[in-house]
Amino acid sequence: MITTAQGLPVPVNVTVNGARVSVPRGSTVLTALRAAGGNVPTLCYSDRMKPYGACRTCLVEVEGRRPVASCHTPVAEGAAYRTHSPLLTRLRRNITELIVSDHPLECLDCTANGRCELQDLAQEVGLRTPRYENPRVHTPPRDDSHPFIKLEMDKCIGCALCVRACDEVQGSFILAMEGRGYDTRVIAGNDTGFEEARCVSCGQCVFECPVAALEEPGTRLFGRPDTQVTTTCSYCGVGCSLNVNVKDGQVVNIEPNRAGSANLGHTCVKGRFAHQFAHADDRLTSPLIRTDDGGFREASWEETLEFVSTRFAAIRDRHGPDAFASISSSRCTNEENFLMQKFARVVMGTNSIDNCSRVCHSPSAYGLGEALGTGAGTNPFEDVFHSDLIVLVGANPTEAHPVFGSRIKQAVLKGCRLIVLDPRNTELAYLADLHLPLRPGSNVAVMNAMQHVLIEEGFLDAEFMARHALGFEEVRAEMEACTPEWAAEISGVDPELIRQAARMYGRARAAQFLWGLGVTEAGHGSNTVFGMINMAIMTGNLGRPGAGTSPIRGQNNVQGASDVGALPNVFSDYRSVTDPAARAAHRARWGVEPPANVGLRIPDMFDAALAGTLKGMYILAEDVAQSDPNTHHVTAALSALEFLVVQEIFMTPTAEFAHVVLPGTTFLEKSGTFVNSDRRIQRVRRAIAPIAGTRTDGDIVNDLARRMGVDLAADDGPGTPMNPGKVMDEIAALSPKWGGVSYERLDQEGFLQWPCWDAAHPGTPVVHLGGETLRPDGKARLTPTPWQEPGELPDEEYPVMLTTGRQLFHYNVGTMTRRTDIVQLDQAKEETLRIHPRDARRQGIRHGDRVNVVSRRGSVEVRAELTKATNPGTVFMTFHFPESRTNILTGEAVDEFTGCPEYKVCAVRLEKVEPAPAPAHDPAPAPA
Amino acid sequence: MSDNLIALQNRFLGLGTTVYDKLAVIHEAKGCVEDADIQALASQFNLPLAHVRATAKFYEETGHSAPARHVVKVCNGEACRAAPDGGCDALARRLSAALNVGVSETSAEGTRLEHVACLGYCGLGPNVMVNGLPVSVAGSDAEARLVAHLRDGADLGLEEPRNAVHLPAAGEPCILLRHFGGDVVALEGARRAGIYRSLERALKEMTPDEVIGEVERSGLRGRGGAGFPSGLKLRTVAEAPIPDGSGQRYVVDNCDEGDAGSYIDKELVERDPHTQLEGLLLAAYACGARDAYIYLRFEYPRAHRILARAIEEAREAGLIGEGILGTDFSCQVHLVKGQGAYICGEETSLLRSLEGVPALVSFKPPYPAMQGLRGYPTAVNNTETLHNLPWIVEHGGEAWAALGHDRSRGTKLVSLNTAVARPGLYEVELGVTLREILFERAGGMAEGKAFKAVQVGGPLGGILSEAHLDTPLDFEALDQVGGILGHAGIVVYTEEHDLVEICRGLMAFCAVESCGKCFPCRIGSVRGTELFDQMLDPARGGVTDERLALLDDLCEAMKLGSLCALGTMTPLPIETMRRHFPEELERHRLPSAGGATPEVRA
Repeated sequence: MITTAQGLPVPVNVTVNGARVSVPRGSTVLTALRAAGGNVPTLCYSDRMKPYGACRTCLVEVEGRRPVASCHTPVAEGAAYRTHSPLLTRLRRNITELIVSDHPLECLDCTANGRCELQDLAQEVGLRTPRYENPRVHTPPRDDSHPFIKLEMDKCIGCALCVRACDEVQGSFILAMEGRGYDTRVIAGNDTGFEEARCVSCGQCVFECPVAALEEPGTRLFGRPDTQVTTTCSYCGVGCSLNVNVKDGQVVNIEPNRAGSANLGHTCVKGRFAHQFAHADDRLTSPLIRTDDGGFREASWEETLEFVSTRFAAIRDRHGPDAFASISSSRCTNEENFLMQKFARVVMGTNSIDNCSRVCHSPSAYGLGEALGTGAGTNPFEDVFHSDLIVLVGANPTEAHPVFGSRIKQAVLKGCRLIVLDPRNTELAYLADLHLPLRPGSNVAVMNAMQHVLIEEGFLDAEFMARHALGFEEVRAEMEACTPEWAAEISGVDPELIRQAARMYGRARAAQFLWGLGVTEAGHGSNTVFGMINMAIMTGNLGRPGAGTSPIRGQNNVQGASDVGALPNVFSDYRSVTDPAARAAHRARWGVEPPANVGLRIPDMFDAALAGTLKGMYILAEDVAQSDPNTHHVTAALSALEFLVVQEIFMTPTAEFAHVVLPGTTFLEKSGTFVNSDRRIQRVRRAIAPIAGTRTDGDIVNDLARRMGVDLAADDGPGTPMNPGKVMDEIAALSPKWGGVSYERLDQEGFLQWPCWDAAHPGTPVVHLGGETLRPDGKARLTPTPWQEPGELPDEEYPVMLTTGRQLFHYNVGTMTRRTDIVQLDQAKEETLRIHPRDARRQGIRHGDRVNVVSRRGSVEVRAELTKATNPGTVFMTFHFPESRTNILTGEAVDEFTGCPEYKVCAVRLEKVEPAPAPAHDPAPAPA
Repeated sequence: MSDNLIALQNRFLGLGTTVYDKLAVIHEAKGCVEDADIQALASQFNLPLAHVRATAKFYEETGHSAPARHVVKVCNGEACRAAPDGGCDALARRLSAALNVGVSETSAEGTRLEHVACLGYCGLGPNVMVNGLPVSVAGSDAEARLVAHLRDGADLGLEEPRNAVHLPAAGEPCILLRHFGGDVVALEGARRAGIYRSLERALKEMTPDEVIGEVERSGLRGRGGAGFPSGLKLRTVAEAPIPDGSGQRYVVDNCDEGDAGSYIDKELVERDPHTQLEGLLLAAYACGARDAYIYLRFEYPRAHRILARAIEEAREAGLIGEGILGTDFSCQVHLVKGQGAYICGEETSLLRSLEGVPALVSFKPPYPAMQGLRGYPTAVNNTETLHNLPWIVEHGGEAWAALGHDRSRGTKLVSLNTAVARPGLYEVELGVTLREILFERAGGMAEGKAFKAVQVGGPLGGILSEAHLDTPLDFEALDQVGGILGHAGIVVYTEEHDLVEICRGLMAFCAVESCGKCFPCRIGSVRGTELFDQMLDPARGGVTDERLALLDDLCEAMKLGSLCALGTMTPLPIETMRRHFPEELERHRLPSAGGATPEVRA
């Protein structure tokens, strides 16, 4: 954009249909005429993408010139534009006539009927039947084979919006326009179809299609929806804003919300298409109580909640408050999590509440909190476009956080440099300027060597450190011996590559560290986090747009669950349970003395259960028997409990151990808020009523509390449902950094990024602006990070390193995704052991062979998939499939500061299973 | 255009190397690009498969997915269609029968028959390209030899022909053809003739700004057709801001002379390649480009050989590359072969082709001079335009500006087809009338032919009648009578020609060559061709008022709606044919049809 000396856009004054309007120089005529309240038809334009200029229906008249296409023509000072005239109508009609001459005339049968841009245009210009006689038309066969992308390419108008969406938004480049002229057509891959072309099924092509050439199944099945509700996705931590289309209480389909601040009108396959789980046949629809014969019986809500409240009270009263612990859920809303921790602290009187961030990003929250004063990422997603270097560590966002992964990819293709530290050859590792394929567990060594190079070669921002940093001398001393050659021995990474990476970071103008669970779940995660923060402080890459250190959070509301206090050591807003001021504030608000001692963390809970000191647990929507490491240990602990209540939407492996199962609801059935990975608080809104027999999770907790004699101040009186807005008001009152958050503002502004101190505060996209941190002293603290070996190392018996993670088409333990049509996709059907062809050859394993993967704790059997995405010496599995519970293998070693387990570092050996006549794999979801 | 695809290629193929280059290598080796080649190329370089495929399929040549033993391309440019004995259409029918293969098909024996436009022997047509060799099959026994060669493996015994070049008479201005009499193809002869002296002088004695100044003073306007002031273009490129600070600028020599009936650039490159390189290097020096591209169509194999050799010699002699002529000016010259797409003569399409993405036209602004190749300022100049630069630097812009007429300065090369007595290439001073060119310089009509119409400037030029013959050859004057100067290929039609058939062919050409991006051109050209077919076929009702009204609407939608000149100007010959030759369409009205004009019925 052209700017004035003050950096403001130069205004251009034009008139549109006689009305004066001023727009920044460089704007298109379309922008100007929309700003003036005018409009023209468009068929090939999308505000998510660059103008294309193909359909020519957006022509406008300019005084003294031939008509111009408004979508790509820049405004000219003083120009007078007309959007409608007899000439323009004639041109539009004659162009529409051409389009319709190669388009089936079956509007009434078409799923796009009523929301087809071509149909609207034909109506607007008064086109009936085209005059062209016997035109040669294209009649490609329709193709229904893909579960989500139905092809009726005879309707294609050649606008290339699908191709451009795949390029400019998704960045998968699966689609192209093939050929030339009239026979130009959309192809996928080598003209082999979407699936074979490795389409990621994000559905953006379908979303952008102005006709129904690309169509999704929902509208075919249900017809036109009657309601649209804007809510926030419940899969990963990106926080995509979604529009849920509903008809007669059924979800018809889900589309990206163009106004969504986190996703900017984009979604991935899961958020877009994997929603059928809400209506799955095996949803839990009645409370269940364990019977004497070990089964379950259905029971009424009244009976069940009375039973649960009595038992909880009994445990508390007989064994003391700390004989009870609860695990809250990062899948649930902030309001529900707040109620869970309030239930634990006020009703049960214990701080033993934790959430799954314990097993994912607790080292991130800890490290960021200690060093910078706030347990969250420093920069918003959009900052990838303000960075000139991204260092991505132990994260595979194009699969695990697809919408943000696409954003990183777009930034890199626009010139931002990328360094990837990852044992695997991920999609972004291929794209990277530098890829450091380090051994699992060696993160700290490489981080230390990078710091060594930065210090030794003088890439230091002395001025920034002088003003803002503490502790540099200790770090300098610690790093002295950590040469790249030393780290190379440990990590297997070429020392030259480590030097290059450090120099690239040292020279960057605005660099960001972004990391995933490959940091926090891979041995001494907190020290790896400290290492990255150290580098940011040393080089002054902090507190500026594009410069910072941010974890990419795994679950929809894992940030929020911690933010609102579902942790054993802090209240909401990370206020310590031992801090007198915080205690006083809570005492004043809650009217009781909060429990004084720090509670149990999740791994400690299992140990305490086995030790017999923990008697009762309340687990909200968390499948620990599948998702936590060392499954055998976890299930033994669950079995040892006197009383276990699991609140779930399906009968999960964890629920199988419960004494009582309470049927909760999905995000589609409730209202509240989620906090995404970049501290964005966004509304969740009920799209469908709770499935018959279920209750929202907040209502259940609230009801239990009332039955136990406590008013959690979460409803509008006894017998009324939880009022999430009221709960938010309490969160805001008790959490200084949420002080300005309210439903009124969220509904009006769409989102707020905390810290948001008061009603007048706009929220904080970049924290620590200027280098002043949120620590009490305002300083950024460098932390020495001594190298320690990971808790698990290979040996002769277990010579191979297994690392685990996600794949695109499933989510965590698959509870949701496996109950959706996503399982029809070839890439989503079964778990495989990803192994490098060289390793496979050495062990006589061929592609498709069944292999026993054996660790020191157990073994699972899976099919081998030979791929160069994994490097020699390391194998990879996901944890999405109950048939092959990967976490049977993973270990009990944990981060010393936070107790976060080392899922990513697991020594195994591989045993080829001698071929037996294997039955065809059944892709259906696991039965309840 | 996709910036992302460019970035991916830069990342995975190396800066500036493209999928297009890789596909060209495959095609060079085997005459086609098979699906497996596409797959292998994509996986070897981690490139999007669909992109590799779409790029291959955009072009005639790389679009072929199966090999053939013989490839016969019948030129169906306007000059060959207007050639004697029924022209190329009749020739194609005869070959099709003799070889037992339809057009765009491959026979059981492995002979592929297809069309091409144009081979640049418009004064010798009809012409064909057989296995990469252009030959004339006019007269004698050439056609029989060709068939025998393809059918029985007999020796072809035909050589690539040479166009006639008619040097100006003594005393007439001779700038572009001044070295054509000499032996300047090899570097030694070229240097003896003084070629590269202007470059040396510019590099050693003039600043880039001074070079631009001379070009501005000359009044030179682009010879590719648009007539944009060349000095202003060079200055724009030289002064365009480059946000990434790389200083990267490009010069592109547009030698994709696709206008049927034109063989101007071809002759310049084949007969005087070093003046062409000198002009290109002068432009690069003027606007600060370190890389220059020559985009030369595959239909000109001899030009390709000669230019490749000339570049090699110039490079060895230190005239191309680092530190040219001992100065600190460095410039690489890259010769890129077009793979068969007329649209690549359109500058944005050409740039997309160089970028290795499907060569769809881009809207302007941004103009290439501001954001061209890979987003950097790029001076895209026609070959003839560049050929003028050495003379301008040698003699000064003012001397050059002394020639010409009104706002059209200098001289212009024109090429003529077989309808005139002396077809060939001529250099004329702008301002000369069409009548002088056709009836004085070219000796009038060929024996037995009667003048009917003339089309200047290729397939997008207006069709002019005898009444327009006194129009001076000049951008504005031709525009005023419904014509264009264009690139100044001139095709004369005779009384043998049905101008409705000619217009049908022009519409069909647009359909074949449309890039397929904008709707009016992509669909309109096909509907227009169908409409002409209906009007030309009495069995389908011939010309009717409804069809004429539809044709008018179609022409208006294409003219005002299309994205580039191919779509906006294809209606021009049709409209001028209707205006200047109303009787041509009326001939195709059925006698019984109502609504016919009374005069015709009477």
